[in-house]
Amino acid sequence: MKKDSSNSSEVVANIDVINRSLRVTEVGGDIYETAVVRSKSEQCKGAMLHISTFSSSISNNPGNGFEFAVQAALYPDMDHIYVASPGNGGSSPIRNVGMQIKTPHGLMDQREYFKRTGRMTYEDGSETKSLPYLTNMQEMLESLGVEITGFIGTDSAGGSYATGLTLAMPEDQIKHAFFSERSNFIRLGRVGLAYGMLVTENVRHGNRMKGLVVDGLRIIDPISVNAPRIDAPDSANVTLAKERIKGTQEIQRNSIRQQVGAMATSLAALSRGPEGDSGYDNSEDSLLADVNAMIARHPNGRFTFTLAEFDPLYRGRADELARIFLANIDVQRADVCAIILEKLPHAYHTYLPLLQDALRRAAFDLIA
Amino acid sequence: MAFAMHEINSGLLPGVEETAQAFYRSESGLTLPRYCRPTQSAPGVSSVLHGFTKSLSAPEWAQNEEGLKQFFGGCRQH
Repeated sequence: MKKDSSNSSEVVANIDVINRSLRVTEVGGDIYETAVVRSKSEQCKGAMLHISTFSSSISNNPGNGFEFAVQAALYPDMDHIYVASPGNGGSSPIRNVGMQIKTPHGLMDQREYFKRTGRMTYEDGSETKSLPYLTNMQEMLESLGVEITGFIGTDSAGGSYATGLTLAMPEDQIKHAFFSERSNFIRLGRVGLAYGMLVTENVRHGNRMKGLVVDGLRIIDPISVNAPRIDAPDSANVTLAKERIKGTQEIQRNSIRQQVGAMATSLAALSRGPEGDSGYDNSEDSLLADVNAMIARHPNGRFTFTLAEFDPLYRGRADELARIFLANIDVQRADVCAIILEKLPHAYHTYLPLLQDALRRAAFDLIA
Repeated sequence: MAFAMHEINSGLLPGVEETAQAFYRSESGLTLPRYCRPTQSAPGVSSVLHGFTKSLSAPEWAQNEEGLKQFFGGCRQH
């Protein structure tokens, strides 16, 4: 990518835009925390969607805003929209809405269904649909004037939500999607997932990655650079939304309780997956079901998955799980591939954002 | 170029610094394993093709402190 020496910093400029654009939008009873960075080019090449991981939002974790600012700076000729994942920051959790989804385990409402199956899509007769939370999210995106034309930039659990969201989009709209360290490749259990992400990844791997230095510069730890901080958590709009979520949902009486509840639901859902040790069991494979539905909806898409060798989500079996996944999907006319990130942890994108950028450009045949 | 590594527990993430080095500093860049399923191929392990990504390198502007400062808005000296 060629740099424009006249700009002091694209990232800093984007942080200012994010601070001003952070807001919440309500659709159908669901609330979404969003930020938007518009294309710097008159010839916008499309919109990239960024959905946060299972416990993050800009308003609760300014580092999320910084990462979003970096990604938007790397693709200045695209629109970028950030959405906080369910139950985080100003985004409301997935809740039961009075619908009935037929499952082998009986009828379930959407929150229970998500928690029990890990799926973001469901079968309604012969049709596969997004959960209502994601249908409302798509309507929210349209209300903001954002059309996700070709890219989805998602990491970790954000990939699960994004996969389901594609079912709410017009057919064949998605041309490229990049899923970095997506959940649900293997059954982990709630304790296994929580320990893997909170202890192994956030603490042990995080400390290790923060210690990496190249040529005396901490260049692979951009979060620690002396860039201006995200001020957006003070946004009155988002604060009001949090208060409102507290006040309108009887079961969640305060934001801490809401976050704990949302996290418990997400942990249960995102720890689902096929049993990997005794052959391949498709009976509880939310990944396969949702990805097949996405491919059927967007049959000409190009879908890239990355699996890091030391990601606790894959328990040291990234290579094997990638091959099993690819062998079992219904590829149709789509182009689907998986890249194994040797020697890297789950959050490589936080510490090596330029490597993730290079991977994405290679996957999409973009010229740096 | 010299590659300094500090504050680490060498038992964790073995080889991660070599990966960072290959991406940021190596002339040959970083190449990673890649699997794909050809369009309209039948399901099955035999349909999964193994290859490698093209060589991945950090952009030229990211190879010095000034470029990083300009992009990120700051850069902490170790």
